[in-house]
Amino acid sequence: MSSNKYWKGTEELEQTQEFVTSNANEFSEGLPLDKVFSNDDSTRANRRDFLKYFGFGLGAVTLAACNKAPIKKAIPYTEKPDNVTPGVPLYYASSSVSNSEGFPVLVKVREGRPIKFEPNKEATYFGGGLDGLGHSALLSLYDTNRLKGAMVAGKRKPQVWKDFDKEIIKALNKVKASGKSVAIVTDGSTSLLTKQAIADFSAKYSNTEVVSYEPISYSGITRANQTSFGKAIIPAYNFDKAEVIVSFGADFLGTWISPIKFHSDYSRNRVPKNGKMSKHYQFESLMSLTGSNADVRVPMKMSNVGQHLIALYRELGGATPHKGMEVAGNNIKTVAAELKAAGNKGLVVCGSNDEADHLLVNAINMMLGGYGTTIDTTNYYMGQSADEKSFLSFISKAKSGAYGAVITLGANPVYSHPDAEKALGNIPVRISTSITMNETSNNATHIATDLHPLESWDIKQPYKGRFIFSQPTISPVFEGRQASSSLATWAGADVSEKNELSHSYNYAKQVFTSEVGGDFNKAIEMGVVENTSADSMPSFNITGGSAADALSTRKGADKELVLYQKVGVRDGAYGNTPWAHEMPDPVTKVTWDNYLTISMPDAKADGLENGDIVKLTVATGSIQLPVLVQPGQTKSTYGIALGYGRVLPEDVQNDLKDLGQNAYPLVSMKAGFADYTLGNVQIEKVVDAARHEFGITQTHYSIEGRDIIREASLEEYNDDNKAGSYVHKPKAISLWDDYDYSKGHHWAMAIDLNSCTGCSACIVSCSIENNVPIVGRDEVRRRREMHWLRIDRYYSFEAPTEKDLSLSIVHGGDQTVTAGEHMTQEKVMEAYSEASEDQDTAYDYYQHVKVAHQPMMCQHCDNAPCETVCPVLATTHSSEGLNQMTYNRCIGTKYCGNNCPYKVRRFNWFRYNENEKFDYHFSNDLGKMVINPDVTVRSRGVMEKCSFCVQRIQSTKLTAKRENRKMKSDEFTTACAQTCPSNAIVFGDLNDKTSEIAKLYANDRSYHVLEELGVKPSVQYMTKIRNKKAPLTKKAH
Amino acid sequence: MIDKSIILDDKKFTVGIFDDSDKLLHAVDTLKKKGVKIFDCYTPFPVHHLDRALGYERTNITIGAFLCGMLGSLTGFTLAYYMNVVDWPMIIGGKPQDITVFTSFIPVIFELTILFTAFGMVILFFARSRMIHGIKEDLLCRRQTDDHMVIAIDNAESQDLTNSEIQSLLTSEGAIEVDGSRVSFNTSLTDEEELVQQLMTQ
Amino acid sequence: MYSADIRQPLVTAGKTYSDVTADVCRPIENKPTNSWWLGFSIGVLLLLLLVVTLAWTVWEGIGVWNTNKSVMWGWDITNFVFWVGIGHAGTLISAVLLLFRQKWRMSINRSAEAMTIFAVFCAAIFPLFHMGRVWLGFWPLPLPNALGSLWVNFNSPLLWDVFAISTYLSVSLVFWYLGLIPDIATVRDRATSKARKFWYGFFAMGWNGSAKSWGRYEVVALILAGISTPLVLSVHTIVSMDFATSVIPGWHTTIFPPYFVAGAIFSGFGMVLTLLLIARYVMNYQDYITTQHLEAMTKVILLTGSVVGLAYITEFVIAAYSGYEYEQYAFANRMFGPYAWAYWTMMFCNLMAPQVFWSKWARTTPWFIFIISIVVNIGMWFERFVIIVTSLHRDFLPSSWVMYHATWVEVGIFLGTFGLFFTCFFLFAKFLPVINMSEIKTIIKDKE
Repeated sequence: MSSNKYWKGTEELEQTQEFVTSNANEFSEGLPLDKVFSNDDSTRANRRDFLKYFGFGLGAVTLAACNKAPIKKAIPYTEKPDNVTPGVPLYYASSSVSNSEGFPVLVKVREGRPIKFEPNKEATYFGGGLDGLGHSALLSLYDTNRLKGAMVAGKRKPQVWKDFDKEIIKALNKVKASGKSVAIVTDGSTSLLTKQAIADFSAKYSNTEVVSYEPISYSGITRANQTSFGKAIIPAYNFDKAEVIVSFGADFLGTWISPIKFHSDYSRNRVPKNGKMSKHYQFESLMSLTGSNADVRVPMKMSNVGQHLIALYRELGGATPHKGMEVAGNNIKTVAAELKAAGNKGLVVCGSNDEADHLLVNAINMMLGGYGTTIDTTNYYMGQSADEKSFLSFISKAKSGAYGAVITLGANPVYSHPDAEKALGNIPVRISTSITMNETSNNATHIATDLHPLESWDIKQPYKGRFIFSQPTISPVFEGRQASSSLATWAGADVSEKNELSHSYNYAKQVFTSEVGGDFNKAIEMGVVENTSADSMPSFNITGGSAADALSTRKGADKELVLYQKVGVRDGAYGNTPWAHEMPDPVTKVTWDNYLTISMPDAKADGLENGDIVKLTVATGSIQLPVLVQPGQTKSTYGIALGYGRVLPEDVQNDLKDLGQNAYPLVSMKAGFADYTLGNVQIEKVVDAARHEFGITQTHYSIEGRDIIREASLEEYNDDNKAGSYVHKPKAISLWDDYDYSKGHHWAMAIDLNSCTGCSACIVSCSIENNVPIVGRDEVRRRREMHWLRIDRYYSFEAPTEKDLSLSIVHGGDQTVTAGEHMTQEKVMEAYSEASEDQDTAYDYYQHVKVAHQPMMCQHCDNAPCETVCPVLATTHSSEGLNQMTYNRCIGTKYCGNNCPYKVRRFNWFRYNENEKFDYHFSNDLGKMVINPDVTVRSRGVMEKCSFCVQRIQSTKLTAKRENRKMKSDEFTTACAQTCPSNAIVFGDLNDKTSEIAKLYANDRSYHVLEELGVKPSVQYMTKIRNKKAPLTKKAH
Repeated sequence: MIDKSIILDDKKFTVGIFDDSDKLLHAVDTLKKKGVKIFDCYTPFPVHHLDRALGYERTNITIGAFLCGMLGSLTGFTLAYYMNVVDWPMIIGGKPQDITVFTSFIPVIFELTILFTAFGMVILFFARSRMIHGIKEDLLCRRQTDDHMVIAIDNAESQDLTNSEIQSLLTSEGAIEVDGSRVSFNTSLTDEEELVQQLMTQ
Repeated sequence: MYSADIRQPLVTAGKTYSDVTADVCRPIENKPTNSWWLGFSIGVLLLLLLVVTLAWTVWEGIGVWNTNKSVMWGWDITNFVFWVGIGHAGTLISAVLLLFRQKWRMSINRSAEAMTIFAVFCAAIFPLFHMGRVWLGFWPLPLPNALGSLWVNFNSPLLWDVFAISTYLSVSLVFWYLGLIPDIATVRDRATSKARKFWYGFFAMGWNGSAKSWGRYEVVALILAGISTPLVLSVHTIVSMDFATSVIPGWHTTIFPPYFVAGAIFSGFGMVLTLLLIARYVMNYQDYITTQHLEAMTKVILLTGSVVGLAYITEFVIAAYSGYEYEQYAFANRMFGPYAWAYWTMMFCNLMAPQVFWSKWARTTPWFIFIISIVVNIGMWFERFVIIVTSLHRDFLPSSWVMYHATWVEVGIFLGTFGLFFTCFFLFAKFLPVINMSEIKTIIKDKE
């Protein structure tokens, strides 16, 4: 080889010190990353830096590309929108989709996709929570059945809006010419835009009539208030100001008026503070969520509510000639006494829809002086104020052919009103604005497809003077147009975009200035504006005595049917919401089903069992449903949930397809108001029908006298704050020193069984946050629901006492009360009853039932049994006390699941995504947009479970790190804790002594479930305190 | 197949074939007394005391087996200790991450001990007995794995007695067949008919 | 020379060495009988069922079984323990009885060992296919990871299982093969066809019965027996730890190891009897498998059966005495709960039924022994079912209490494993000497 030495540059030739050192490195100059990452803008990258970054970036991308990405197609931003950083969520204030009257929320948006609702903590008045349906309704945005644009009957393809509008306007003018009138049927929406648009529209078409229609009517209240105070309103109820709450069949925590707000108000007084907590009496016929939380729950026939009210009125000293049946005897006496004592801190509410009942309720509240404190008639509630009287007249006029055209805005009367279909059929031009095909749009002539609320601008006013703003959080997915704009167009306005601002934006701004006033952008940012006025005692212009007149003659029917709403489904407006249907009903724990609830005494009398198909007949019609025996239900009352039996588009091919029967046709309109209580019920068992199998997540309702939920009465608690924890605790001995979690963070959770009402919002929130698959009815039947968080619901009975029972169990059942083959208190109790002489009353105690709810998720035990047994270390503990699942290491032996004392681990029995068998939202491109990119979609054959929302912990840590500070433990919280309307769940860092969790851990009420196992759970429960005198606590054994 | 026999090579043997283990033993004893050096015996089943009669000392395979076992235990422990304590310590059910977790290793250590002992020993056995898959057998009598027992005396060995004396001795000891110079063979199928005929006679 | 006329001969009808050879080699050298074909084809059919059901499981996911959020182990692990249990008798008979110098074992140990091996094959199927991701079934092995440290968990009983079962299988195979070598040599030397000559020659490893080899051979066999004995005990001990080390009431029980081992021997002997009684008739081995053998084994059954029964009672008494309500409930629930039928089946089959062997007639009447042996097998399957399912279906939180019933797939897999088992066994009976000739020959002159 040649001996020539070639050198590049004199430095090398001379071998200067700099050269030698720098030549050792790959780049002769280091990457100036520090400069880049410092926010110093003055640094300007030169060409070579650019090349380095480019090379570095390329390398990084290549490396990143090495592992399989879940998303197949990813299109990069050609032009990055301002303030959208991939991987960083944005939050927009908006209004909940499921509440037509409006409810403040934040919408979490990732890369332009709304993926979750979170409560808007700015809106303190509404309480920082959300409900299950509210969360679930998000899927309506990603519903594959959404209409793709303006539709005309008989044509499958969407129309061009211009031609469509021409056609409509022509039709409307024809109607005007013909002298007939145009009807606009609105839902209970409090949208100011719609209001404005309708005004504009009626200005153009003077022949317009506006009818507002709601499937669920509260006209009883509005009419009563009209009579009592001259204001046809639903007042605002302040449960937080009430110390004694008496509810007559009003499920105010579940479905009545505005339950989420009521939740947070109610729960404020449910945790004993210096010896006091609110007292809650519930008189009801079905077992409602509210009833399950009452301190004293009295079974009552709904048709007897009037009699109860009269009795109460008299007890309170009201003058009335009428006696009122001695239905509830002592209960009413005690209630009256307590209410008297509470004075204007007492609140009486009633769930019936009868003016007379509510007149008397008003009288009672007046007597207590609750107006101005517990009841606010000034800043009243504005939603759901539709009165069926107007709709009934609309129907009759329609039948007589008075209308030439009808426009249904959001409302879906054909589904929920028996006569609507015929009446509307009588109107030649039927325009609907629904975003998916529903019963009404099915027989509409035109569909001016609306935008989804998350694609629209809007201003709503759920309470007088309280405004909620929604803004588009995603650009329209399909060719829809906001209904207000449609109306405006037909009124002749030009709705084309002006300098990139949509018509509805300008519209909203205009309405804002006229109706609200102030800084528009600030309002949009905050999402709520409040300009309320001070409340005052209204003048009451009717006496309770005369109010009682109407009621005095009422006699309770012998057998009656009560039509109610379910917490998960409500009025049924959102039929296609798998999350809501998979959410177990808080009380019955049934998923995916509609059924007839009957009381145990009736079941025994008629020889009915769960799943038997029965035909129920009332004056308004008959219906066939499976039977569900419901403890706590009043004898000879029957319950059916509304909101089922929706007609969904053909291509819905899963369990949503056949969801129960539509019970709306049974609602009676005879008395001039929608009556949800019907007498003269005939029940007959359909013998040839096959027994229906429910998908129930909890089939065993007795707690078997185990020390899992601890209870105490307020009295006991005041004597000893440790009341309820008398159970003997073995001293925990360990073979070795436990791991030391005192460094860094130690995550833990506390759940207050007093505040928890079991509303199940957390379940849905958790499922959405963590991409928990929906498995459908059949898999739930096989007991394979995937919920990471479940709420256990236990019943207990006054008699026979639990103690006898638990003893008789342990000794294999003593002879008088043989447990039968099944060895459970449930069976023992049935045996008791079967043994009793008087069979008519033998099962009556099933009406008097105590309920306890207990959220149960992975307890993140410090000594986790699941970790020890995993052969491949797929589940291990983090130094911060988290029990972690490593999905891609898991081989699915399921040993961990078996060894979990709390049975909270869930196994992927099938591949739930990309699988037409489980086609809910994981399997179609649109539905997948809702998947949370921060959480893995689990593959088939791996175990999964609650992770304490580790993704949130990590992102918060990173933010803190970027801002280089220590993260605070109250900086974030888990999805369940965040959404809980009653703040029952608290999450935080035990090592942060100032944190709320640390305080709760020190609380005397706190205990661990199954602590004697020595697994050291990181989830802690707080003894449930019932506001009672009677001793509740189990003595040590 | 490996075609060359490795033990008996092409040696010439004087063989006495017996059909009774007691006679065999007795014959061995007498031969020994007469100072005849016996090369080996071939029997279809283990004849008790035969090895003692032939003066073989106990095999030392056992020691090898023991060492293998020790190796097994050691492997087991190092495996577990390295994986769970040294290289990849994880918090598992709050268990310690040091030597005190040793108890959990015992089952694995035990199993590996057994495994190593068994395999080590058997492999040693095959090696010592020159056994390997596919090697050809050396037979001195076709039925020595069936019902005949063979005493083989290497003709190359210098004996006190003459070959004929040994033969007559064997006969007198009740050998059903005696052969002065037999070369080991294996049951190749060249002599098919002879084989068949053999089987017929049984 | 070892004659003592007190006892019955172990091999009757005055067989000579060559008789033994001829008798044992007959099935190998002759065309298979019709009864063989019948049994074999049934086996193969069931084997097909196994293939189909397993394929379906892997294709669809374990969801095709009925295991659920609480009862995550059902028939799968029940069958696993069942088969492993059966797999214990073979090695036990050869090893322990060898140590105890029980000569009567000689005519049965070969088939017993074969049974062991095939049973362990069947057992191995379940832990493998009960995994959610069976294609990753090799992960429990301590293999290094390309992307840095990632090891297995030596605290997990399942990992112990992996080591125990694989060790047990391989050691049993070695033991079995070692015993076969002299007999294979015999077959080799009688071989009349090239193929057979080649194969038996190949596996005979040049064995020629030299006294030197015999000397080593016996020592090695003895030591193998010596180490196999603790191995057998350890395997089911470790299997029992899958349950004993957990926290679930009904599983978390310290007496499990001895109780499981006794159960294993019990079920193992049950299965050995079942098979031998069949083989005895199909192959006319009455002279080798005499009523004396049967009687000896029924005595073992009687003993272990009683031990197991004692264990049942003990664990119940302990639970009742524990004062721990969950434990008490678990056992009360077994007796009176929805699965009580399974519990009482177990009690009848395992505790009551074997007691008939107190009577000489029962111990010496083959058809009766056959029935009891079947009963024992059933009973031991139910024991595992009771332990696994009734403990899981109602544990700590009543909210998670469930019922569990197997689907056709689970049943199919179980039946299928019998297919695998019998297919293997019939092949063995056709191609290998089912009776250990070289050992039998040592005792045909003996009385014992």
